Amino acid sequence: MDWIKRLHEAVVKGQKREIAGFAAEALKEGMSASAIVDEAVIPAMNKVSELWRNEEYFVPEVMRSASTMQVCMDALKPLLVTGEHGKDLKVAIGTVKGDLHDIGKNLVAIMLEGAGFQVENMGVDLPPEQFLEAAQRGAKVIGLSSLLTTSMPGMGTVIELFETSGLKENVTFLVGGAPVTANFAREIGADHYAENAAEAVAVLNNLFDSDAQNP
Amino acid sequence: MEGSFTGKERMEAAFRGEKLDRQPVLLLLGGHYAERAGYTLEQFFTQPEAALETAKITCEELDSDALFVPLNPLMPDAQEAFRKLMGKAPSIKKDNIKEKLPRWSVRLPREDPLFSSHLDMCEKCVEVFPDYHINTMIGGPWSFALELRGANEAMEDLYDDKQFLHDLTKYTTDTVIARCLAVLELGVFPFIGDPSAGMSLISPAVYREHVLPYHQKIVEAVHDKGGGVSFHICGYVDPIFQDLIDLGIDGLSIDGPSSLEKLFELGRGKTTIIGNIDPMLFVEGTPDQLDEEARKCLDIAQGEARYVIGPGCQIPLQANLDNIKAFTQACHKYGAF
Repeated sequence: MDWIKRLHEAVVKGQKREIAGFAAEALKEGMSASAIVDEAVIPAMNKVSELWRNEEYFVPEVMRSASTMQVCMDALKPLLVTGEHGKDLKVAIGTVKGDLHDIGKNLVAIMLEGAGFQVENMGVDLPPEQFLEAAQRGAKVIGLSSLLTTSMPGMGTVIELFETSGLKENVTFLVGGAPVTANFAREIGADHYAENAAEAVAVLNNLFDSDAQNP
Repeated sequence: MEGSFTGKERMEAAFRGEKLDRQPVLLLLGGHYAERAGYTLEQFFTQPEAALETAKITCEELDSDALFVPLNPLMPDAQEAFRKLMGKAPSIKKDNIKEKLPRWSVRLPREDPLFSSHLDMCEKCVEVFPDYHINTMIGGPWSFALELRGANEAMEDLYDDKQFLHDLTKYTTDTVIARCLAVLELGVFPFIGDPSAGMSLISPAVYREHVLPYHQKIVEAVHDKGGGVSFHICGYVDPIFQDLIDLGIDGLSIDGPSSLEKLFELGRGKTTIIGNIDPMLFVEGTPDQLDEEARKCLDIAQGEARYVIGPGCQIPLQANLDNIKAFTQACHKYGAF
C-alpha cells in the first residue's frame, strides 16, 4: 500500500474518521512519523490551499481537511521528535468582545497548528484583558478576529490596552475577519492583516523565518 | 419628498420594470440617526417610539425611497445592543439539537414575543410612512439553521450527517415562510438576508444541495400569496448568480465583493438588481468617493429600469453621516432617467 498517497488523499478529501487508522497502519509497515508529516500531511495541506485559491475548495472543505490533518497530527505527536516540526512561536488567537463568530478564527488556528506554530485558541467574545493575559503567558503573536462591524472597534481597544500596559512592543498583532480591511488594520495599529487563513499562515511563516534569520 | 413621485411608486415601478423619474435608492440603515432624534442606541433597539422617531428623522434627512422596519432583532446592529442589555452576546445555539428537532413545531410569528413586537412596528411603519416602500429583513433559512446548530458543527454535518442538516433547514424554512407571509399581510415587503449562504463561506455545490431548494420553497410560498420577495446574501456570490436569477426572486441584493457588472450581464431585466457599494466606504471613505462610486454603479446599470442603487449590505453604525447624505444626493443627481 502506498501510504503516502493514501494519507495525502485522506487529508485532501477530509477522511477524518479513517485517517488515524491509516496512520497506524503506515507506522506498522515501517514508515516514520516524520516521513508521514513531511511527505503526506504537509503536501496535502499545500494542495488544499491551492484548491482554495482556485475556488475549488471553500471554507467547509478546507476546515474538514484541516481537522483531518489535526486528527493525524494528534496520533503522530507522541512519536515526533520534540521541536522537529514545531516552530518556537506562540500564537494566541480569539474573537473580540461582542462577537460569537469563530469559524474563520478556528480555521486559522488549525492551519497555524498544522504549520507547526504553538496555538492557544482562546474562544469568542473575549474581553481585552484576556489577550493581555495570553501575552503574559508567553504568546508572541496576538490574533484578533471580528465578523461584525459593531465589534471591530474592539480590536483597537485590545491594542490600546497593550500600549497603556507597555506591552505592545513585546507582541505582533495579526487581525482579520470579513469586515476588516488592511486600512482598518493600519488605523488601529495592528502589525499585520490577513484576508484568509492561508494568508495568515503565510504572514506568520514570513515572520518566523525573518526572526530566525535575525535573532 | 423631492420630485412628483413617491419612493413607494419608484420602487414598485422598478420591480415591474418601468421607469418613472430616476433610479430608486435603497439604504440599509438602523439606528444611525438615533442621536439626532434624541435617543440612545439602546432606546432605538428596544423602544417603539424611539425606533419610529429615528426612522422619521432618517427619512427626512436622506429622502431615500424605501426603509427597513426598525425594532428588528434580526438586524446585525441589533446584536450589539442586545449584548449590552443582556451582558453577553446573544446566541440561539441549541444543545442536543439532534434529539430536540423532531419535537419542534414551527412557532407562529405572533407566538414569538420579539417577532410579534416587530410585526407591531411593521403595522406602524405602513401607517406612518405611506410614501415609502417598506421592507423588513427576515433571516434566511440556512443562516438560521447554522445559528441553531453552530456553524462549526454544521460544517462537519456536511460530511457526517447531511440528512440532519436537511431536516433542520426544512424547519427553519417553514419558520421563514411563516414570517414572510405575516409581514406580507401587513403590506411590508420581505427581504430575506441569508449571510451564510454565500461563497465567502460555502461552495456553489453546497449552496445548490443544501440551500437552493429551500430558497425556492420560500419564493413559491410568497408568490402563491401574490407577494414579492427580495434576497440578500453577504459576501461573494458570483458563482451562483444564475441560480439566484433562476429562482424567480423579485429583487436580488448583492454585497460589495460581488460583481455588479457580471450580474447585469446575466440578469439584466430578469430580476431587480440592488446594490452594491462597499458598506465600509461609508465608514472609511469620503463624500467624493461615495459620489464616484454612485456614478460607477449607475454607469454599469445604463438606465436599467430594474435596478435599485444602494449599499452592498447594512451600512455600519459607525458610518460618517455626511457620507450617507453625499451618497444619496449623488444617486438623485446621476440617477435621472
